[in-house]
Amino acid sequence: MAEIQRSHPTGKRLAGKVAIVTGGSTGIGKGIARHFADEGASVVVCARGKERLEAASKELTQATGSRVEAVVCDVGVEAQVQAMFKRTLDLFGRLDILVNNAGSNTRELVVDMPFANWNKVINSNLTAVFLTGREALRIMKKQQSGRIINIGSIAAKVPRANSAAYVAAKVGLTGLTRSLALEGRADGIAVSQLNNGNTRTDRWLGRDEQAAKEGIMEIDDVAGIALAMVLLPDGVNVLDGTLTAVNMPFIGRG
Amino acid sequence: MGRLTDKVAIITGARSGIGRGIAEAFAAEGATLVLTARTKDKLETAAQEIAKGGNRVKAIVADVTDEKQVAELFRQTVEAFGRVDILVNNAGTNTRYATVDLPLSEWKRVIETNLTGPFICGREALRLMSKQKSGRIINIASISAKRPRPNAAAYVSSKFGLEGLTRSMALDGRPDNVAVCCIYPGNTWSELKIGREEQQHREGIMEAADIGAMAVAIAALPDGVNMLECEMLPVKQPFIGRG
Repeated sequence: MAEIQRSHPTGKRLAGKVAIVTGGSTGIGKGIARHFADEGASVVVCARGKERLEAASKELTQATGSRVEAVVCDVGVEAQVQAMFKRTLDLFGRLDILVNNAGSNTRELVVDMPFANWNKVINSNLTAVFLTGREALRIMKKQQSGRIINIGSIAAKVPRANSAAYVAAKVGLTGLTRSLALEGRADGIAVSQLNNGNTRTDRWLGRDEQAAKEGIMEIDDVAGIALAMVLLPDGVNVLDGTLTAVNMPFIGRG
Repeated sequence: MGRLTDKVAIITGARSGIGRGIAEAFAAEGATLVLTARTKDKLETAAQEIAKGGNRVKAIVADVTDEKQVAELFRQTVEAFGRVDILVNNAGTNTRYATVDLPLSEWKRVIETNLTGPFICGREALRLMSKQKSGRIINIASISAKRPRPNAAAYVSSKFGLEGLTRSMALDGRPDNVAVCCIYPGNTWSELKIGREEQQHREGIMEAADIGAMAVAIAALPDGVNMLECEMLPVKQPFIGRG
């Protein structure tokens, strides 16, 4: 009969793998870092704020028994990104997985949007992924293997009002994901985008009414799918995933 | 305790290929399964092999394009297991002609199996799941739903249509908390691929178990969470660029 795995593989399915998770001190990034570390991966979490990042790295190391290292980095700054990748190689010698999760938003109508806010959002959601993705591809091309997961948004598919910069960045991210995938293909590098709907992170504090109306996912739902994606064999890629609450107004016209 | 223990799933086209891969992956997570195909041949063997793992498994012969047979499939499933939590619309077929040479009979056969079949099965499932106020329908489309291959007009049209059906069922099922989604696999090993080994080597090919793994991740999401789209393909398959 066909091989069927009856017993649950008891964790550690990512033993020996090295991952970077940007925006790893809170929210979806921290959730993904925890899921990877639970499976035995060594993880570098990066973020701008040192205190919260180091608390997260300590908490995840204690909770999982895996090495979760904190590297302070603003992913929108080229020199800091390069230093962060160098530090990762110094610590662990390789890079198997990059999760581009760091991002920011600003809520204004286009007519009221200051140029500085536009620049900030495009820089942190789109340009940052170019910078980290470029470093990752350089390493992964030498390794002839690797996986990059870009955390998009359903805003990459259908816009919300008051979010022009965010929407433009996320639609742009789809273009960047596809370009990285195309250029990494010959070297066996898988690049994918996971587009999430409402997820219960700190950004949703105080917006309970909207969350109840539209539905909201838990961080673990998103992190569980990200884990399933990285557990696929080398050579298999979820190019594009869309994950939302069932009730999310997204499928129909509006 | 598996991630799908106590879940009842119907899988169409389950005797081989992706359907069989999903059935095995669901079984490994403890699901109760109804396996469906048009002919008994290999279907009962598949059910018996999977049942050896201790799962409750039933083989029911049904043609997904036949309204009465599909109604009977759901009736027997509910009679045996009391409910339906997951429907996987996997049964599908293909035909290879340039459009100028494509006979109408072949066009109809492919559209019926790949598009009308999921409508008929999906309608029965939605009727049940709307009453249950929970349930999940996973449609197996293809990356052909995003970009065509040559000599596959019927297949490509049916899979584009299946995306529309997925979105429509998701919208209609939403008030009753029914999640409807679509997996779009690229090249995957199955009997449809026999004789095309050279192409597979060039483009890369996934195992049915890979689709099964993502189907499990989707099926194990909590009620109220849906992976509306899951596009998966071999890293090396030509698809991302222009062609």
